[in-house]
Amino acid sequence: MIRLVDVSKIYDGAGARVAALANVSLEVAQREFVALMGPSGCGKSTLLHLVAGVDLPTTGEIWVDGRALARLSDHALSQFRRDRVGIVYQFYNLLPTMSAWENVALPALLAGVPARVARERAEERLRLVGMLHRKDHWPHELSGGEMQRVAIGRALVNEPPVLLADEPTGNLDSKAGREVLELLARLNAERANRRTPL
Amino acid sequence: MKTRMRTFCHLIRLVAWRTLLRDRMRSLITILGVALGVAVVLAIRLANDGVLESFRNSLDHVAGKSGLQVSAGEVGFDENLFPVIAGTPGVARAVPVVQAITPVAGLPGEVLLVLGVDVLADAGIREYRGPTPELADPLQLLTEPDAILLTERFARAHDLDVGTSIRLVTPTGPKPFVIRGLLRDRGTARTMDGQFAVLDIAAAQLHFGKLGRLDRVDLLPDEGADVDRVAAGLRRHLPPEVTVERPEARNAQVEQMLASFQLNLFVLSLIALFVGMFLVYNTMSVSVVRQRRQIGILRALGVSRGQVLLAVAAEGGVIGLMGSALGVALGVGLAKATLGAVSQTVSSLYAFIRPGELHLPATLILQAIVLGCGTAVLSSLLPALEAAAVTPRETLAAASLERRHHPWLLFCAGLGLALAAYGLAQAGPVGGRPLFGYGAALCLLLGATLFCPAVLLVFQRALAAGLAGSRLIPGWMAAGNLGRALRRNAVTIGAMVVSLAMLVSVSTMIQSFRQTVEIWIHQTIRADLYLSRATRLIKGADARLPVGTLDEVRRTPGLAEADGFRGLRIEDGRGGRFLLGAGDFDVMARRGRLLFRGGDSAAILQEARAQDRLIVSETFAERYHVKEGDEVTLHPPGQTIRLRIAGVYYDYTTEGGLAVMDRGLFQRLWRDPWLNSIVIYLQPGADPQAVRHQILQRLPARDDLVVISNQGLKARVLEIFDQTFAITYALEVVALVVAALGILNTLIASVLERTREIGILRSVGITRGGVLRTILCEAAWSMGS
Repeated sequence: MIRLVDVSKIYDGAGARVAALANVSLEVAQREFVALMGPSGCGKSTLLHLVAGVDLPTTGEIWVDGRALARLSDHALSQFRRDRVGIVYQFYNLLPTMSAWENVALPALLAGVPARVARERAEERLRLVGMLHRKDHWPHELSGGEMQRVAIGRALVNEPPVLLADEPTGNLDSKAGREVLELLARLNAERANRRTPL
Repeated sequence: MKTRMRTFCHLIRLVAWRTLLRDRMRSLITILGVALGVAVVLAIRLANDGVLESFRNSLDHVAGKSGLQVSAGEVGFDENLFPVIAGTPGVARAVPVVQAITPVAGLPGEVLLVLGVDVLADAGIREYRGPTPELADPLQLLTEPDAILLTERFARAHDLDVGTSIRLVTPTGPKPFVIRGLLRDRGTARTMDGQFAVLDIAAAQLHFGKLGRLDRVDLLPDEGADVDRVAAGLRRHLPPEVTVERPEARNAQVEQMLASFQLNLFVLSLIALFVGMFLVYNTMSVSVVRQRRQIGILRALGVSRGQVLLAVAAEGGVIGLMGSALGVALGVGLAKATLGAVSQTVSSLYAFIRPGELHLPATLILQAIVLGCGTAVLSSLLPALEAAAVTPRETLAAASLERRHHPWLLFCAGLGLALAAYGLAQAGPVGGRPLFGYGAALCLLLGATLFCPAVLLVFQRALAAGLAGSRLIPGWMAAGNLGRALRRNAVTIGAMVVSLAMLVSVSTMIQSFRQTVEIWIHQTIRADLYLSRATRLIKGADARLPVGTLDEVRRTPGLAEADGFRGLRIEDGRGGRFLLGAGDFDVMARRGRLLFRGGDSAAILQEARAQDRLIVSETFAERYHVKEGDEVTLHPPGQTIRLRIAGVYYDYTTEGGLAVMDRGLFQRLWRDPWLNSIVIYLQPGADPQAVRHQILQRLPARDDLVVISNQGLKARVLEIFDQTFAITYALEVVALVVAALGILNTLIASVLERTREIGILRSVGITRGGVLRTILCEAAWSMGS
């Protein structure tokens, strides 16, 4: 499902080159639930962004769901991000001008799903993450844990084969963090035949 | 395709629209800026169209079905030519016309276009229908020389009815006319928006001092006849001063005459929209900077670069659409006031018009909306491109930052544009229009805006260095803030530069021109009193003084000398007109002081008088490419003559130019006894007011005569000058208001972005007043740079 071959990522900083990743190779099979652990600055987020097609490696090859990301055009890469991966960020990254259900429905709407169907799907995902009762609330009206649940709902709305989560509990208190991890584990178990959360 | 469209609509609804709603105040300011720009352009366009429409309608209604018109300018031609015209092969019907624009006594400001026609023959050319049965008996007009037909609309507006009388001010004095019928508001009766009347031609000749003369003959060519061939036949049989042309040629003449005036107004009206572009650009730039992180999120969620670009451009389009809609409403209101001002200027400078009601065709509304939206989308393109360049990685960005820019590169580009402006300014006009001049002005304005970032950078650094560590903390902080959003502040300053530059340059030009006119009037207006008819200031109106007025004036005690001036509008055969004047060169040499391009005024005038030469205005010389010593061809009745130019003098009274000859020569050639005005020189010590009073007492029947003092005439000239340029100033002020909206917009953006920072400042003890002073300092630094 996911294959990294000799992947390096080097950033040009102020007068210095910083190697965020050096010759990383990795394979993740379908239905696997993988956690990457390491100290701050070791390149966890960089790796996730490369797998998500948000950034491109300096060297090496990345294959996700049968696609070599480096060979995709910008447009194809956009479609890949929209249809093939769901990402959950540490800082939620909800759009502040949209309500909870609109945030969740957005990727579906972008994929051309009719508005009514997209809304039904969004509500179903919100129910799945236990946030249906807050569907009409704006992001600033939600707590950190609630925002992260909505972000997970959004990541799932197009049923992508890969779900990526970048320190999803890093910005939450311990209780909320535990709930989010339990939610991800439950989703993996319940929907194991449909996708592979990482 | 359908899916893409649907996705695009979702982006507009959920992203662009929501962003506009979130920044309501800034969106409103931007919409208002676009609305003002669109409103001004639409108002000027409507007023220009209204004026042209008014001309066209009047000419078309008066022309009726005629296929050709025979005329000879203001002086008309001998009625003995009528049988020649009517008998020319190919002419099916010929109808003689005497026409005059004349004031209505007792109704100040009201003017009628009076058509003197052969009521029995005229129905073949023009249609007269009325609600009153008297129209069925046209003989009444023939048998009663004081019978008149009015339009129903004019009669109703002034409580007039059949049987009542109306007094018209004719060159032979105010005359009462009995209303014998009313014309329904259709066809010819719509001429000059209903300010129209019909007399029998013989009565018109009698009352308007045109015995034995015709102003025009309207012709209906034979069915199937070649109109050009008929016209050529007529020209062969007629003297050279008589012109034969299709009625539509006169429309073209009017349009040509007004073209420069209207083009200038239109270009000036675009300035506000141009300044509005900066406003939209500013708003969209700020929006993109503030939404960088959100755009990154969208990109991470799968929105492509193209979709981001379209969404931001669409946000600009929504602003444009709303601004245009508001602008159309504002523009229609503004057009009503503008039409009055434009009509007044056109009536003073070109030809009298009476504009009808404003028409707002759907195509014009559509054009205004397309213009507003197009401008807004165009202004959004750069910010949209910047937004499209945002990578999904920027979801990680901790703060919204302006992208790097290169002030010195822009400065160099500005220098390039300034050089281009210089090059364009050297090129001549195209078809008499300064198109390269407009291009030069645009390059100069754009160049000036490109200088702004570098100038602002230098200014900001100097300011920050100067204020660092000082006790002027608000000023110090403001200097720092100025540098944080350099490009945005540069755009705001650029908008202000454009509007201020236009205001200053146009004001300087007008003031310089006014100063020239002031010097000119003080040099040339030297008589103590001036007598003319009130209609003299209405172009096209009959302003002739009755024969004998000069003799009567000369008999007034206290007078040293009086001289008459005759002015005739002459067709130049190229679609234009100039004024042919006649005055006593001996009096002008002794008393006047015309400003000649070279040589002594008195000597030139005496030479011109002795050798039958002309003097021409500088405008005339430039328009017809002639100079001192060249010959000018003129067509007095029945002949063609060539007169040499004795001198070229400065004159600002006419747009088409002025050629003047001694009255003795004029009367020999034109056999025209009329005068348009009289200049009066008093004996030393005589009281101008007392003499003025006595002159008016000697001419009791002439309540339309105006005797104005030297000072009064000078003041009136400057008043007309100021009135002519009032609309120009108004357009500049609107542009300045739009630029001021830009400053407000930038300041609001600056405050919104720093809400958190302002909170921190407040928490460390800065007062509300301190925050306010910082923001005011920021505005002051912006404007100061």
